[in-house]
Amino acid sequence: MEKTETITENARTGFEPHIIAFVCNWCTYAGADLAGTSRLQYAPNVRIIKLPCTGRIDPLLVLKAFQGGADAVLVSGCHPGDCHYTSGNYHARRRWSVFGKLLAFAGIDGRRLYFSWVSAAEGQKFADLINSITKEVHAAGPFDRINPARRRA
Amino acid sequence: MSIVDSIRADAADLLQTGRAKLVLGYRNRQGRRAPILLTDAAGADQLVYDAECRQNLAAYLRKPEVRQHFPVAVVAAPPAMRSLVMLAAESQIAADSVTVLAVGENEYHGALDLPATAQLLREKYANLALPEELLRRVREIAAMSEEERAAFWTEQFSKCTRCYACRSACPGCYCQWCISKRNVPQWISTADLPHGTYAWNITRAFHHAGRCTLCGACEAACPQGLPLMLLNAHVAECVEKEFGHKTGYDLAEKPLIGSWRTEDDDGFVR
Amino acid sequence: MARVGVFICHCGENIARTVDVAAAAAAAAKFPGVVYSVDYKYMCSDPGQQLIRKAIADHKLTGAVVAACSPRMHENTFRRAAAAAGMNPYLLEMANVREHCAWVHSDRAAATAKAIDLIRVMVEKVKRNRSLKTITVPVEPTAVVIGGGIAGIQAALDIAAGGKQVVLIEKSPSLGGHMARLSETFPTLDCSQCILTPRMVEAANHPNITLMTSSEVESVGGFVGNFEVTVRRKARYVDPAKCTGCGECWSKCPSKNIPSEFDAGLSRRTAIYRASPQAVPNQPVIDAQHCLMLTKGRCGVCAKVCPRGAINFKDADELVKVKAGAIVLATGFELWDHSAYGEYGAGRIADVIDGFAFERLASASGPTAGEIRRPSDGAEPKTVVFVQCCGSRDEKVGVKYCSKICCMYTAKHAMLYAHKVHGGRAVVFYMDIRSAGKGYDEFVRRAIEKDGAEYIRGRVSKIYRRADGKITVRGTDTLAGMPVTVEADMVVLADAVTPRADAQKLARMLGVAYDADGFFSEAHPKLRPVETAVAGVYLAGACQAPKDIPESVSQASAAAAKVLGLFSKPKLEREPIVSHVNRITCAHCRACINACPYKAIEDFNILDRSGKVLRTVSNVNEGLCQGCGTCVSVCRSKSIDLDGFTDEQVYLQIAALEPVEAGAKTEGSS
Repeated sequence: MEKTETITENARTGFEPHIIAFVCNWCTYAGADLAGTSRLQYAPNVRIIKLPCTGRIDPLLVLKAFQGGADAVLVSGCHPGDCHYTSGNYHARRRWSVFGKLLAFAGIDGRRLYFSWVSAAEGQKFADLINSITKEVHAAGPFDRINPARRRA
Repeated sequence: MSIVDSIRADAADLLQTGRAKLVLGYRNRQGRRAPILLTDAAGADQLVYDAECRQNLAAYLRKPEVRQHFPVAVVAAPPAMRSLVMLAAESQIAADSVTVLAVGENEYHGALDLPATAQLLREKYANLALPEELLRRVREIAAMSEEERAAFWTEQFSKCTRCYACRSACPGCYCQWCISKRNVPQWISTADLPHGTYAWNITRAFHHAGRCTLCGACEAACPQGLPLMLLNAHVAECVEKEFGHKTGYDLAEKPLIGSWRTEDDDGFVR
Repeated sequence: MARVGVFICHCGENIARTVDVAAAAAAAAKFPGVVYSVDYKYMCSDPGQQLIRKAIADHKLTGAVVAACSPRMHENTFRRAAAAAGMNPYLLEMANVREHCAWVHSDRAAATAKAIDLIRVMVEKVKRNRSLKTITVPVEPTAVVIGGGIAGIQAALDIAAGGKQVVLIEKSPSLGGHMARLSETFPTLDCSQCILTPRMVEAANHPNITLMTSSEVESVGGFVGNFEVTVRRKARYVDPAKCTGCGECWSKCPSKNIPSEFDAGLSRRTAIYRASPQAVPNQPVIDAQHCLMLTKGRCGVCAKVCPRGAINFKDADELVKVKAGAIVLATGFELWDHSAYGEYGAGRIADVIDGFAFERLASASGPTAGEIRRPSDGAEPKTVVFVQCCGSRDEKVGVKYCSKICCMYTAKHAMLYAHKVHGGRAVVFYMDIRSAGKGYDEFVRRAIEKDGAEYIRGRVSKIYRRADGKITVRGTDTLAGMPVTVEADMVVLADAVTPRADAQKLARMLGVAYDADGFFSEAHPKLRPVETAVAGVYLAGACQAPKDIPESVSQASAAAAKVLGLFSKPKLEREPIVSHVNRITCAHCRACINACPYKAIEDFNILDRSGKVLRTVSNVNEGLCQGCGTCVSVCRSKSIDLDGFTDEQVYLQIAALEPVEAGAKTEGSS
């Protein structure tokens, strides 16, 4: 199945959110692996992009994801104190606090950007998180605010 | 002596004694204010200073043409003084390369070196208030619904022609290869479409988090009248409230983005 | 021109059942830059790896994407296969279509679409992968073992036997841990101290082992092969070089009423004390909190009577820096606090004790010289009730897990009691009997059949003391189907095994993960039980999960083998995922220098031919950089980039997920 057919299928079945998750390799990626090993089921709308650490995830990635037609972005990493690189998630946390508020002030719907701490042992949390986010984004509808040329209903 | 006379006297003195090879100040040009770069003490009487002097002269210190004349002196009001301290804290200027002709609210504080400038700021200008009108508008926008806010900013950002005058006017924009110029990869699309203008304006505001001294030069320079100070003021307020951070008061300050405390708030994290 | 190969694994039915692998392979064949696309039943098997190697050679591949399980599973397997075929291993990436796709979705169409997206993302990334060479760093062939119990001692001895140096750090004044406090060990009823003390002495005397007792780890810096451990050697107030362990000092110390930690509070010790007669080092230390001289400035009797003048009241803590290539965590366990069970007396009934207290009563060198006497009045208890699972397997008040060792040590306690108190009655309340080791079940049967312990299957609901001093234990006999009441003289609770309270602090110092119960996390529960996710840090003993002595010893030896493997090469090969600065565009704002968690970035002067500084920029020390990428995010001009996760790669991965209109060109290029 090619990308074009995916679009047609979406049009057929109604709006399916397109969610990109930027996750850290050591905690959330492993947590997602655990969800898989435990055969926990969650909505298939999310695409995970692996990065070494949430410290590597900067706002430009989020903006590019939105530019590229993502309806929502999830950024997830290790709990404070547990970062494999000691402090990457502390840097990330501060960055997200400022950026999240800036986006909200600039009119980006709060249901478009999510942050979470998911550890390698929290497979269930990951599955639950994806399910609840997918539901919220589904209710929020397609995100065409900053990319009307690329989205279709 | 009036403020202007003091500035002129100090400028002339600095140039004559060689403590500055270049003085950056303001002059009168057809009824408006423009910058002047003086290398000769004789030209000091062209210097003026009043409320119309809104350009942040610290921005010139990014230019190689100016840097080759170090040490320099700069006429600066508190926001520009903070810019100079910020630049020194970010290793852009050596602490001993600048003399500040420090102009306060209604007084002249003399020709100060950077450490003395930082101290002056801490003692007398620790709580610079933003214009009432600006604060009111920030609150107004924050109180809008998400839809209203989205509509407001889409309209505002649609005016942006990507001329980057804001960048030219700001002393904090010293990256020789600005992210807006980078095209491999092109994070900030240059398309004149919402995704491009949103990306640029939001990135600009974010890159100045904890660095912006709210001098207003960007908004003054914008030919399209984008309300850039709304974004800057919002971010500055957030940053001060969350992290107690105000830039430009300490030559040894650590940058906001790139520092952290274990107690930083993460109530927004699931 | 990129020539990428895509290899999609069925993983038997694991992937193929939910993802249409043939369709995915057909889709991948059309991606720009892909010249070969195939699906196969088991990619990680020998024929599967052969397939990859052959394809690399036949099609002159410049990159490969294996769509299969998680890279955490088999990235190394496939990278080795690529290397064997002559391709740089870093030109191979994995797309996780099993754990992240086939195993978590049931809709075949959606799962297949997602798998294709995930493969496309990795193809775009791989096209920009560079041939990286592993970075070599020197290895300091010294191991630091944290914890001087049986696991720590075993690990230290094995590493030392391998010819490498060990620094063995123990928090308390003596080696031995909990095993030194036991009376006998199951299933052989060996005297615990008799089998342990030779090991303790060997560890103390081994030429390759440096012992640091009364010492704690203060901080840890560095990384595998090059750790710097700062140890706080606490003040002992007794000069180890002079003290002969003669005992004059503690026999004269007037501060005598301190409950002995070693004897679980059943005896009293002095302020200057030795934990036990078999302590290693066999020298006393002063407990600063209870010493009259150190708290009030008077007394000093020990100093007066010491024939060697070994007492030094001016002693102070000392910080010592130790360079190490590997660290073994062997911090052991402690017992759960049963005062949480109000129904069992909330820890206030003196004759309701825990397992360690019973061990000290039974021990020949204990406070009662091996006679079973109850704490309250010293009387010999004629009826003792043993309650298993106190705190374990209890989601509400205690811990969820089974503590593994209690069934065995309770049987042991019942047997010891029967041997020492003839005609005494031992009653054991149990839920299950977990006696799975070698000779273990036979041991429990012996307690029941030969030594007459009464085993009642049921829980205890209430324990209280009557006015006449008897302890009433009310429980259930589920096999007989009726309630049971036992009038006991003493009760022994088999408290749950928990990690030490300060274990988390140590874990954070090292960046080691721990689970919800506080036990240190192993790298993989099945296949990597002694490693952690942090390279160079290994686990041994009960700090990882409840376990008995033979398992602790096995795990310690396994950890030692890993350490010796690490030390077997003079240089360590490190993953080349490091950052590089673009010196042309760097504006030297020093944000990266400030942000780097490893202090791996420094100022760098660009000089002209005459040595004059033209500009200063940032520069990354590859030996220190651990590849987190924090620097890349803080750089506003993106003048620093991370190999393996470059800006361009991440950009194209995101772009690969953009839905496009039919016929439009994708952003990816060949």
